[in-house]
Amino acid sequence: MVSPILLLGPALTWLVIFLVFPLALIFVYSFLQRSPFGQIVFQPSLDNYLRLFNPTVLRVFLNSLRIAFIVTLLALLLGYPTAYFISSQPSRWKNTLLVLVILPFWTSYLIRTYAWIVLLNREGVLSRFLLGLGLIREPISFLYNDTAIVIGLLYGYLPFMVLPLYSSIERLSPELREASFDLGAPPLRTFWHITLPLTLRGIVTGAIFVFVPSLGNFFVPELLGGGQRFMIGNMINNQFLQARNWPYGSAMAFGVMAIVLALLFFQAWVTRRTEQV
Amino acid sequence: MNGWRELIRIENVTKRFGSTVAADHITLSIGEGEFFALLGPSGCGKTTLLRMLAGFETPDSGCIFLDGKDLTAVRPWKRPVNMMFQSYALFPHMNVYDNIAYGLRQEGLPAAEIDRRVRNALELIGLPDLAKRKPGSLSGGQKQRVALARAIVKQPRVLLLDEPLAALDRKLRVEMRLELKRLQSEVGIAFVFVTHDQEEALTMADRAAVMKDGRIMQVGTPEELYTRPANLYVAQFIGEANVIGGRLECIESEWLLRQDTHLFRVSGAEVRRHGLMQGSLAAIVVRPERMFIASASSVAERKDYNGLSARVIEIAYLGSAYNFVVQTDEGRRFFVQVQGAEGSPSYRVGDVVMVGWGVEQGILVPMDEFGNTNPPEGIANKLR
Repeated sequence: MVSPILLLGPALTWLVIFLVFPLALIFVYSFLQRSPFGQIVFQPSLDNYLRLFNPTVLRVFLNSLRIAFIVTLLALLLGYPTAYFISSQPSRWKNTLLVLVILPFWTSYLIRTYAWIVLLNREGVLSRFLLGLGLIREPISFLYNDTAIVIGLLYGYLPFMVLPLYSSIERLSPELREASFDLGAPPLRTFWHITLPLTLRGIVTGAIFVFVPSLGNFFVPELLGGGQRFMIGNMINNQFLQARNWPYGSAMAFGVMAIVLALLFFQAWVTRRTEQV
Repeated sequence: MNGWRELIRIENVTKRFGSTVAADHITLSIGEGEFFALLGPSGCGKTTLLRMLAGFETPDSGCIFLDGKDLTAVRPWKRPVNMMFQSYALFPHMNVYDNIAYGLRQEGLPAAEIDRRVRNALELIGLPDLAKRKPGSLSGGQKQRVALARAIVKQPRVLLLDEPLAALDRKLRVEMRLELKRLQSEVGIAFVFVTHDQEEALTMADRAAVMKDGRIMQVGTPEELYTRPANLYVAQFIGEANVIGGRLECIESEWLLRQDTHLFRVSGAEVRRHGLMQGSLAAIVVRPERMFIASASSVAERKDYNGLSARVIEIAYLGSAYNFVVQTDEGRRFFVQVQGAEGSPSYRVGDVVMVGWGVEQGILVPMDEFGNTNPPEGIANKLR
């Protein structure tokens, strides 16, 4: 008799070596200090965490939260109609459309981000297009600001919004909508009272799928923000690779994790509340 | 029916889905306060017709009138018509109270009025204590009642019910038939319900329309449908039937139906009911309980009977009745039902017996030469 728990063995081993162990290491680092030459010095303190509250770091945190929030909101506004549209198609089209949604994943996100540089720079497609329309006189670069970062993140993570939304809309029986119409609620009110609350789980799941990686992403702000605009990811990256302050970087990483954990608890709460659905 | 007044008129309505015709020039009237059944096998178009009444489907051509007003282009949320869905379609995120109040809130009624009507509705369905429960925690029968209350509370002119009892187990289904009937007479709203179960239609409906392939085969009271079917399809769909097809002959003012070499006596009244003539193709339909079975020598040849010699090939005991399957030498099979225990011990499988029916018990229905029983337009769409 092989115990079913043994089936978990390979995955569990993998997780322990590549997730639990590094996390534990970083957790320990986050309480230590660095020597002037970047070595780890065993001097336990809460200093690194207290330094998270210095104004510069806080500003980067807040700006990152703001950008991730805008990306999530836009993803929801674009993703909901998309998911709704796909689920309303005849079944033979649905799979094709879903494949189209995830098709970009076949190419590396990094490479696709480079493509956005080509689209958004001074000589890029967008600039030329607007010139051609006569809307602008001089070529304009759309790069190196928060908008470019939002565009890049939105583009990359939109499918993560569409897929959970699609599955929750798809699960919704069309009869519920019809029942609402039948009881006298026009389409907009039906959407507000029936469709939206019953797809809330999909909305929250999609929002977290977009918000969390947006918050931690560092190469999109690096490439499209051009080093002018900073997000948490860049700052952590810098602590590890440039400043060689691993303990401080570790504390920052755990700061991000605290935010993410809070969001996951929120999601669990919403899921429990809508359990009966 | 006395005081019958037309409420709904469906006029020449046609609806196609791709190459299938779900409604084929349907014309039908439903009366005020009537309990009306749309009866037919799955795919016959009965649900489509119901959904057109609710406004979820739009006819390709034809019109639907309610109280003489054209309803065809009116959107579902503007119709004084409510529907009870087969799946009940209760809103899972709202409790029973909010489900029932939902429709009233759309009308913008004052809160006190809504509360009064919701409580009345809960009282009416006998579940006043479940107001705070979510649909997920209700039994099938309770969900059904809540769905009913939610539709009735709006006091619609017509309540549409899509297979209202299909999701319940058999015992509850029989109970709910009476319950629905009671509720309907209590609220006085016209009920139009869709069912594939002929027993359900016969026991509940004041009148029923039997449908097939998007067409109405006959409209009538349950009794009319059973005893005076307009065609073979209705005769076979409603109840069991022995069928003998053949050509009519009139010999010395007596009507006969010839099948192969055998002649069967036919009621002249039945011939006249369909306006059939010498040489017409027709079928005799005899209900199993209208057949008799007797020992081979006991029945003398009489003018008002059709009798045949046959061999018993199967006997089934049903508790309240015996069912016999008998076969003649020519291979004709008859299904005979004998109530109670009378005669039951007398016959065994293999016995030669006499079976038959009184001429007046034989129902006559017209056929065409392909054996099709599609009635002429005039009969199919005949209204009251």
